[in-house]
Amino acid sequence: MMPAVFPTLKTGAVAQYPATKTNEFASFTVRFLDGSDQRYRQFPAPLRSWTIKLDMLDETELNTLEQFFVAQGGRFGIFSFVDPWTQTTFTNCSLDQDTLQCAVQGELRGTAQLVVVENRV
Amino acid sequence: MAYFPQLSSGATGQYPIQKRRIERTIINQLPDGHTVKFTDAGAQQTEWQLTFQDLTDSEIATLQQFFAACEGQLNGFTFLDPLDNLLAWSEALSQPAWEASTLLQLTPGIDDPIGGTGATRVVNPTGADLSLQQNVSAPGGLVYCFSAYVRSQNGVTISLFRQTADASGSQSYAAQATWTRISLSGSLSSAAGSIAVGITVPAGQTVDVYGLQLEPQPAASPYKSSYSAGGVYSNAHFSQDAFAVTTTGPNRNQCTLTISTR
Repeated sequence: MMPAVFPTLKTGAVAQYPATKTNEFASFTVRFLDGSDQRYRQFPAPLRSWTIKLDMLDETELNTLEQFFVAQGGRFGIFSFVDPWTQTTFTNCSLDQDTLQCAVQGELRGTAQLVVVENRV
Repeated sequence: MAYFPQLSSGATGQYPIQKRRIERTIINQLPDGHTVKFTDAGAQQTEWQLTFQDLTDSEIATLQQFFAACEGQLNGFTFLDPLDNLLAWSEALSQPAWEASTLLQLTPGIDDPIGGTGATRVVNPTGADLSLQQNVSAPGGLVYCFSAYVRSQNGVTISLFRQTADASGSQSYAAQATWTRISLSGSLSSAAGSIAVGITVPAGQTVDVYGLQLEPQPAASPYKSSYSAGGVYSNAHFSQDAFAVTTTGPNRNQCTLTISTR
């Protein structure tokens, strides 16, 4: 029963404000004695990542996130994720964390943070 | 086996509660961004940080005695997750975790009260009442709340029950044509090491059931679905060897405990 899609909140949203999206390139730089350098592109294309900070969750929503994290086995699993900015579906993503910390400050006051990364295919 | 005590209210924890799920993945990252991953299932760990405030002298004494009996991190105990459903397979009633008469007909995939299809239609075609129940390896004498969403077109009277080897209790409800959440709360006078909870469907009747949930507290919280593992941890340990108690006034104490389990 492993969910293959990143879960949404009760509202249908994936993320809340503030949300962070990152595009990561990888460049290898060789520096020479005269100060010049030569640069190489290591990634054929940038890898995207999204930081999803969630607040004011109820216990059902927190439980859904927790079940998803456990089913994924932390960073191990693969799932599809809809970019909340562009609504583009990325079918090969993973979590970027082996620890999920949920805090419940009170009723309907749960918090959690997940980082999603796009895998190179 | 020792078990983590409840407060006088019947609750296991107070807000705020922090819960951490820890996994371990070994990753080889290649220069072009590809990754090769291996999971380490043996490294799975769950950790809770329970912060207690305004405990009475009696409550803090109970916690202190329990901590002393465990000798800090040394001895294990049973811990009931205050943020989880103690039942396994809450939406898959045909799983072996559930005990039902073979004559009871279970049809999954029925529309549920939150817009999904996680409910199950339970049909009792016989001339006798039949039950669907699950045994949970949790102390029989604690305060529990067993809850479920039910629906029936015929105003069927169904009952929720809880029972141990030496005590039992039940309550009847008239199911409505729309989804209604019903619950059975309280404690049994029992020293048993396990408790069974379930639902009884009268002879010849049909009931839709969703969101079966057992919690170690007096009232039902929002429904949490569960899969192969419920929220009962039989080999939990404290993550600390020191237990600090701060007394903030007469009969007012506070402390923080960290519990972990693999």
